[in-house]
Amino acid sequence: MSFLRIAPTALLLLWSGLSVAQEITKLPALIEDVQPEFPEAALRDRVAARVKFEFTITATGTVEGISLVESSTRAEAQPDGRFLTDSSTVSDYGFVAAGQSALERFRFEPAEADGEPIPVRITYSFNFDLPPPPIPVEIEGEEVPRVVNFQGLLRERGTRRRIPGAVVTVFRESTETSTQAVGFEAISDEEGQFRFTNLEVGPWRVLVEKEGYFPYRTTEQILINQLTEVTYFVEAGSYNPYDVTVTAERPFKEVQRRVLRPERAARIPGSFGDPISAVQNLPGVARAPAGAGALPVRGSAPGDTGILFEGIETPFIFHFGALRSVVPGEFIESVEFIPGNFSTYYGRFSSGILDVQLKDLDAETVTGKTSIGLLEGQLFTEIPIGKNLSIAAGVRRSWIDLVIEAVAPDDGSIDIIAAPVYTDYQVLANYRPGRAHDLRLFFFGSRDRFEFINRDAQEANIQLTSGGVDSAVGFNRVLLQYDYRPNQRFTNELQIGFGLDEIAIAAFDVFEFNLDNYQWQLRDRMRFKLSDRFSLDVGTDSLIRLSDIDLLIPNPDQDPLNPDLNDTVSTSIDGQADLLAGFYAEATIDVSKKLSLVPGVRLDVFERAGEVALDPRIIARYRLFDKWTLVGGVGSFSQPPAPQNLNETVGNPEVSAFRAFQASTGVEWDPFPYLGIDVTFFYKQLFDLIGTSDDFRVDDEGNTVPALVENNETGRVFGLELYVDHKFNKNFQGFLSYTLSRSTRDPEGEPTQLFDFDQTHIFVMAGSYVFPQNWELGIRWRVISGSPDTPIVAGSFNGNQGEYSPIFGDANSERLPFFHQLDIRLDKRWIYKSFTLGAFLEVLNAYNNPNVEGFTYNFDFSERDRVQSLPIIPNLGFEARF
Amino acid sequence: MRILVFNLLLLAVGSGLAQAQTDPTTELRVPAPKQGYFVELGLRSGVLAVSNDELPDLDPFPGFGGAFRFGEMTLPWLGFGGVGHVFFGSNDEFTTGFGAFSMEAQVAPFKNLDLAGRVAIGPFFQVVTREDESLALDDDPDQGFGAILTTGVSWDLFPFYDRQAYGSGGFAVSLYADGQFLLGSDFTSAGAFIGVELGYFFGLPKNKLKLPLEEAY
Repeated sequence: MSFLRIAPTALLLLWSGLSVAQEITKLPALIEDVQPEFPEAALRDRVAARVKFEFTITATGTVEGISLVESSTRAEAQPDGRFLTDSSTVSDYGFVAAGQSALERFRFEPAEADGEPIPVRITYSFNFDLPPPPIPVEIEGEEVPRVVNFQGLLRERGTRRRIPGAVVTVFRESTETSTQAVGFEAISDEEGQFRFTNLEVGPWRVLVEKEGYFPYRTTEQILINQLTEVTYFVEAGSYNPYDVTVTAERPFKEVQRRVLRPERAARIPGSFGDPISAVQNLPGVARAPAGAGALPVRGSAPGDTGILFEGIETPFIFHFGALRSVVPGEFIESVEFIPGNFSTYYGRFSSGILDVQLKDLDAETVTGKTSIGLLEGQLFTEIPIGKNLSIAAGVRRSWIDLVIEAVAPDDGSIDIIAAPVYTDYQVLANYRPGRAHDLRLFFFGSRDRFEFINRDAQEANIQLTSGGVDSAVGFNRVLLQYDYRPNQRFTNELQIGFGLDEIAIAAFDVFEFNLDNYQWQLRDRMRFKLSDRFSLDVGTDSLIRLSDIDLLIPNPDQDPLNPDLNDTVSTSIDGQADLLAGFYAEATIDVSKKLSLVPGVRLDVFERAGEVALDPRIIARYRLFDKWTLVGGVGSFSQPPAPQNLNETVGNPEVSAFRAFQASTGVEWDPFPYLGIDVTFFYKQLFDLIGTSDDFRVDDEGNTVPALVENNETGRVFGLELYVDHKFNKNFQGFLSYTLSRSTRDPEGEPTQLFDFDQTHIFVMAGSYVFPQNWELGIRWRVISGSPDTPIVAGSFNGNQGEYSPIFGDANSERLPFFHQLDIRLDKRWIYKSFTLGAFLEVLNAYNNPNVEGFTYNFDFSERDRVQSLPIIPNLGFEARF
Repeated sequence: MRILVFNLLLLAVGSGLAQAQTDPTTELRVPAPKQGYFVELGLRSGVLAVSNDELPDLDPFPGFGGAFRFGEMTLPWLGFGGVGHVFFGSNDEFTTGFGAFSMEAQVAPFKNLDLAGRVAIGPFFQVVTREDESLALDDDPDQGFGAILTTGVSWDLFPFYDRQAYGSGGFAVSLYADGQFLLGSDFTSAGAFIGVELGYFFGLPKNKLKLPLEEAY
């Protein structure tokens, strides 16, 4: 604690001790100063002073010849207006002696003239400023006036959060006036502040204790007539990220909605610290090939699951390689995953929903984070501006490009033009002008780019002699969100999204896809709570898309078993507009204390497909016993054709939306507050799926052209999901996820076949334990059935092209070997007074299992070799938070 | 604010500051030498057996190597950290070497006996070359990478530690023996090693130790 402020000021260089004036080439510099003691009598009488000396700094840097130039004192009034002394009588409280004593212990770097040390004479002033006076406290009924002479603030070391409810004890074994040992105790208030009154002058030992914190011990000197003010930074026992305040959960309107908190999800080994990536561990999600970044849910194609930010559609969720999502965890409140039977609030998707909820900004002070890892670097800050406004901003850039450029051989077959790089940015503003109003503006975007040229494409056993791959994808989005909650009976949630998607992909001169996509989306939901048992949601979910498309692809109208990749077709579309308007109404009815029903209906207009879809859905929840709940739901789900499927050249304008009928039922058991277990059975019937076609159609001009694609497939998916979720308790958190399922497709006129992502068994087990000293060890183990594969059973020589063409076996008639992988993550955090440093080491595929992603074949397709998935990969990262 | 009886205060504060601490993350530790952060540098010797389908008759590779370890004892009986290993060995026909970095855990189950079991896992990179390069074949496998698994025991000695001085941490001499299994892309190897390490444990700060009142401040 500093109890006085001395302001030393070297005022003037007065005199050189040399008889002949010399030019001083270096001024003296103070290298060791000593604070003078504040005279005790002056403290008692509340007298401040300013004392000015003149002295000589010798050629060796010591001080000599100290003389007083001038001094002044002033007495300060007490809070009650009284003066403890008459300033006119103040002569000397010992300020001069204190100053002189301090000066004698000063050490300087001597002044120099022409490189030689010389003695010089200077003036120097001390300001003896008084510390804050004690604070008198009047307590009714007490005769002895109370004066606060020791007060302080408790903050958590590292985070600077205030610590309420801590016990602060001051004690001493004896005093001058009493031989008895004494001790006093105070408890910090809501602001983390504590106070002691009328402590006797002298040293006191201080002990701060609170459960979950290490004790803080120190000694303080209580001085006469002085308020001693302190701030203690007390170290918590654990800085694990799971001790977070969970805001009220949204009411569940689905059979299963799994909510991942970013602070938890990011620590799952293998997720590379990305909370959205962690969704790939949940029941119902099949494993996509390494780096694909796809979310195949409950036996459906990845594109059948909606990827949303607060309900607003985004073109993609992951950067290339699928190691990072496009929005970091610092902006995310929760990641909500609904594998099926979702509410009518969502539409235009036939499988599942991934909806990322944005964080409510609520920082007390400016906070921030910077991180550096093998993949990327990140900057993030959150700034409160006044009472109602907070702003957060962040940016990330990968440096995979730098690594690749450093290690890629100059004379290899691959010529890297633009190595892979991704960037993303986010700005989130949160304004709450009143209790009923909550506005958020989220501006975010992402860009991925890479390009390389394969100098020797023949090595890849394809019909190409030159070319490369060039990919640049990105988007920018503005999301404006306004929640209006005037009372408990009515809520309105308005969301307006606007953005531009830019996708440009080219490969080997035979494929080009350029898309500029302007998208406006409007969502509004009104919730009327009509009684304690009945509420009604009505809303709209409408989207307008304006697209410019350039497409070059191999001609689809040729023998698929013997394609000529150099036979291409192209199409160009400017200003293609598409309106997708959705309207829904949904009731929540608490039929009894045990039974709740959520019936709803959604109407979707697919303007380009020229269709109107009506999808009724209903969810039921029945509380069987205290900790047991039965859930179930059935519903219809419609999904419009992808834009390329409606294209005149590469698709078929006559294809229509495809539909899914979903039914699921399950039971939830919560034996302990920290443990939840649920089992869900699901069934999904798919209608009018869009598949390739050998048929013909008549186009607008009356010509007969190949249909290319038609609504000619049906499908069926069924299975069960088991999820055991152990929330953070007694330093452990973890989950176990298992999915048993079967997904088949029935193309028209062909036998039933397995779906591409049909994986019979999907087992994921993950857990982490927080150890003392801020260590955390996490493990994830996955065992998953291999995906179906269509084998090449032989090759036939094609005389025209002079090479072998593959002869395929039955579609998806084989399975890749079982996939299994262990990932381990070790986290450590170091705690400093106002910031924390963290580091993690992650080892993916720790026992280097050679998992198989597919096969490559030799020139005549008589032999094949395994394409292995990722080998063992270490990942190291550091972060600082303040 | 309320006045406390000093004896009660001593009970709470002085007698080892032994408030009931059920939370292991804030439990105060009895001062001991094997506490806090540590760094260790060691030498080791051993033999490595390497197998490869293309080189079926490889003799064992005796050799020597080094290790650099760092980490922290998070509990009296448990520590985490990282370890870097190198090894060089040779036989009549081949030489081999590998470098590895692993995350490590050590478990010391015996009170007052600093005998610890160690396990570690991480990536490695290995090179195998023929002594006589003129005999090398075009398809000779020469390098590979993969996962290294380490398990072993160590015995830490603290020759300068004085238990009466309430110190925490100190210089250590460690003897250790371990086995390593290298599951690589081109080679599968197993080795047995013994070694000695010189290390330093930095100890715990006073606010994390059970100390008498006079030592605590």
